[in-house]
Amino acid sequence: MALYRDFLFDFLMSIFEESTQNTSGRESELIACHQCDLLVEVTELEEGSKAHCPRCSHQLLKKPKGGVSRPLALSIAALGLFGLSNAFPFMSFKGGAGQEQMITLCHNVMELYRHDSQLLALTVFGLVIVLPCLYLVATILILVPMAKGQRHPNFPRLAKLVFALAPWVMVDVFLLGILVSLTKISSMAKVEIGLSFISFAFFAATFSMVVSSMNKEWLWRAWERLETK
Amino acid sequence: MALESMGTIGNEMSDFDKTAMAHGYAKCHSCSNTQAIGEGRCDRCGATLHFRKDLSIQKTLAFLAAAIALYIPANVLPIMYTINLGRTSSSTIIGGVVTLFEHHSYGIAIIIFVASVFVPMAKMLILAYLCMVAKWPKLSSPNQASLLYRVTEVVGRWSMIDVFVVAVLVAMIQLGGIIAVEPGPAALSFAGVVFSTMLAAMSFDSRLIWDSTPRENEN
Repeated sequence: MALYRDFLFDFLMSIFEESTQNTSGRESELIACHQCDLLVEVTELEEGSKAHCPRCSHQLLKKPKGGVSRPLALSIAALGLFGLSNAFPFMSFKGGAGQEQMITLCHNVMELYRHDSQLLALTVFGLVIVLPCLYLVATILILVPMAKGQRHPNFPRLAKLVFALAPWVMVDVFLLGILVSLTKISSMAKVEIGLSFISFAFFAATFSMVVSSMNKEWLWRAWERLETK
Repeated sequence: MALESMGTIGNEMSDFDKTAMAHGYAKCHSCSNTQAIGEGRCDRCGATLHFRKDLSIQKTLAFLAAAIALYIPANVLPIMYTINLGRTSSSTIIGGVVTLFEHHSYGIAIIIFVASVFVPMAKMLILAYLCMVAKWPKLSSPNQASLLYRVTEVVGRWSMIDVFVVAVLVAMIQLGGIIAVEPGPAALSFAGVVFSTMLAAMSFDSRLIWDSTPRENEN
């Protein structure tokens, strides 16, 4: 068993050594693992590849495909879809007595506010409307100068904001919440899905893609490179 | 294709000697820059540097206590009131799951049960356990504990789903006094549970799990 492992190790090392010879100009640098604090030497990554910690297998660095332009395009698309999901009725709902109720996304929050649950209204408003908007605007403000190859002095402040906001945006959770409540209502009355609902679903999907393509370690590194140019 | 794990510094050192802290290196919490701690400020973004999060276990336990305190009203009080033809009925979180089961919507019942009952409970227990592991490392292997921590961090926000369900139902079902849904006090306290468990997970420093590892005889 041990022999086999040694052989495998040598084999992997030989592949690795070849690849370093091919790309002798690559820089390597020290990265501390965020999860277990192991100090690891990482050579520069190819696009679309990741480096993991050898001790705890946490992701150390990821270099996304398409560089800056991919998250930029996605976040502009997400902002557009967000505008669309506010412009049209979210869904309409027909009760037994012929009443019809149409609601939009903002209506949702206003209705909560009217029912003496201001704090709850504020929570939903924050998690589903304000924070995602803020996140996307800040992301676009960061990425536009970077795509042009400029180093913007506001980057540190905005980048800190973006990465602090990311876990608090719950657009995807809200989407699942809507689906659950739809099935709950459907036993009581007829529900029709509006145009905004579809665009909101696409918005949630696009938003998750933006979040996953914004790698903190990589983005700061890319910005730093611009500075030294 | 992926060039990864380029080996660590030195081979014959103990586990702790391979950490950034042992080399006087710290990772900036706000821009992830790994650097010598020097005067305690990050070269890249100016944030204060520290080897480990300040008062990590104390903060985690404090948020955890808040979460447990909020968890009681969240389960005992009604999460929403349904007013049907003048008759008001209230339902708690668990009551809602039971009703869904009775109506044979098993899929949704399971989603709600997992998101609002199982996940918050598991999360609080796991965080308490991780604090114990950081204190008494013999309790668990660091790899297992790290995995638990990672799962807790990812899964936590999905507990908000029940709060959103109430919010959507309140807005949609307002039909001229025939049927109406009103939010109950448990909705807000449950949101509080989710927030405080998220904050607890964020203040926990997973590096503490690995710090007390003079485990030479690993493997």
